[in-house]
Amino acid sequence: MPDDLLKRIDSEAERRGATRSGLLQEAARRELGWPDPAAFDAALERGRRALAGVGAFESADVIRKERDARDSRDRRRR
Amino acid sequence: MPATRAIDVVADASVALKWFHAEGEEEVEAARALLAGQRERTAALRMLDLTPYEVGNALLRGRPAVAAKQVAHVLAALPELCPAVAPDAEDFREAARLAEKHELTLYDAAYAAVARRRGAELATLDGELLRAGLGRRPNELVDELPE
Repeated sequence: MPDDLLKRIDSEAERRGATRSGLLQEAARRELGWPDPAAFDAALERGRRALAGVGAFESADVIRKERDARDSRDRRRR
Repeated sequence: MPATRAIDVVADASVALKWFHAEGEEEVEAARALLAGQRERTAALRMLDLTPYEVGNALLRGRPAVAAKQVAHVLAALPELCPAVAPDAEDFREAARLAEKHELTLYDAAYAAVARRRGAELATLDGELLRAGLGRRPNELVDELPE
């Protein structure tokens, strides 16, 4: 790894109060897309709680309606 | 990391919304199994940068008419579950080709283009994408999750 990149990593790690290894692990997780399990569970719970009690619907139908409406709006702008 | 390679999946908004909402939904268990695969690292799930807009609009302006505060919770949760892909120039080239070929909007075709260019499956329950043969139902994909 180039020295200047290592210096930037160390500087950022110091700014965050983290280690070089910790910062690199965090960056790799973000880049690879693997979620943090605790953050994942908490986010999912918050999202589900937000939609509890909104009633029955089929997501494919409401998304298709939104897509068709957007397409109609785009066509009207021509 | 699991010993077997995770399957790569791009989930569209019709699947992503089922991660949060279950009442009246088809294939909600399979959609959620794909999401569980992301947590367990047996599926590498992606959405598009477009997905939160579609989910938010459908909840706010569609029949569910969900309040803004609740919609905001859902939209804040989405990126914690699965990273969003911003299509690049080559993705848009492929999306335009697919849109023309299958008479789809560029928005819809972008999902298929992003999935194809990354060797991923497109998980969707959208009739147009399924009819065009560009996506697969969660019920089919869930069988391909590594044990």
